[in-house]
Amino acid sequence: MSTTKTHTLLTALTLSLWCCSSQVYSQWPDWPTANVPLNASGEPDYLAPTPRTAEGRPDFSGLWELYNRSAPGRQAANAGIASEVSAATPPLATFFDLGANMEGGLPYQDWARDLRDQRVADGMKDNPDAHCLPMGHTQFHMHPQPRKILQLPDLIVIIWEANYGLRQIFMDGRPLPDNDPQPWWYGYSIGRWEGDTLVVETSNLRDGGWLDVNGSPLTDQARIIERFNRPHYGRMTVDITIDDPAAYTRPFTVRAEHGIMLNGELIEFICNENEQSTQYFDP
Amino acid sequence: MTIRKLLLSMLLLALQVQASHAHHAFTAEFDRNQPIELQGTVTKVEWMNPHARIYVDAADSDGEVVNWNLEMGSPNMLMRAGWRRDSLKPGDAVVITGWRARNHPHVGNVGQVTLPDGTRVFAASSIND
Repeated sequence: MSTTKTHTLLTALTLSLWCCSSQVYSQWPDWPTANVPLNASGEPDYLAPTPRTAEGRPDFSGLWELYNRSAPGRQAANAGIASEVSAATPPLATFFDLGANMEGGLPYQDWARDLRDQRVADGMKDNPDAHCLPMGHTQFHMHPQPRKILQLPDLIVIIWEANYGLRQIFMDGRPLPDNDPQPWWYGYSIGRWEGDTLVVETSNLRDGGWLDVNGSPLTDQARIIERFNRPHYGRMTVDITIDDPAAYTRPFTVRAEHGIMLNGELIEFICNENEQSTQYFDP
Repeated sequence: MTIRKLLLSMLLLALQVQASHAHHAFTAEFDRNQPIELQGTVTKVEWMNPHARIYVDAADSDGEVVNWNLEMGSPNMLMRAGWRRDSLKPGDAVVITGWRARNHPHVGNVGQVTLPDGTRVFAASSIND
């Protein structure tokens, strides 16, 4: 059975378990999100105009979670709004396989496909995330746990609940470094505006990266271009271009799609607090 | 529980399925082909990252009572699924279904917990990882 079919079967099994279960306990304490636009019924208006900063830029600040993969009771209305993914847009990435919706899948070099296959055969035990290390930008973008964006005129910060990751995007006009002797887990990111699109370029990434849970490789030759858009209040899309000629035969672009998460908050996640799993991994 | 509340609970539970992926490598640690069902008593709860753990005195396949180390989802996912840090306490009688670790006979991953009052709750297992 293929990995995809196995996941589908397991998801169906899990769903059946859920539907046989009962919900019992209270929720994480909510705190109302400020300045939420409301419709005539007094409900959040997810299609309201894009919020803007004092400088007139789209404001991405807020708590975001994967579109249509929402925490219980929070995003049903937002999830019901049409997706921003279509035949005219980049295909939607998935957490396990960034190229799941690309015709033919990701354009791997032969060695990169072999490495991905080996990583799957190994049960993904070397995924940095399984060792409490940063999982990389694309796994973070597709992670079901929420992320918070803080936007200042010269700096944008993303706090990922998953693995409590922290990312800086410099908006002050500085160039990418060209003499960095030690590539970073998060690379080095600079951003600029193209109209209402936030364009972020990242280089200086460490070698040995994982683009997805299946372990599609990312090398230190990679550049990542992300194009962030907030077409209306409730939605954010990120078109991610991976340009890594060492691992792929051509650059490719996939889309991540997020919905605003209201009345919630990030929950602390200190991965090394009590990590025991790796000692039971197959050698 | 009224029918309406029950249906709402089922809906919420279904919505959470997609949000239940943990981040660790289930396949490297646990064997999908070794399901376990344990009936026992909670001895300790570790409400910690990256996975909450419950320790349960329960019989193994030879009938000997041993202390099992059982992995659940992370506290953030469990909280959004409705759990609290005191949802389980030492002394609670539970029934656990899940999967055994590959390299330890008394370590497992929890798929579902049946609580002392008979309700069954999902444990945010990472089996889909």
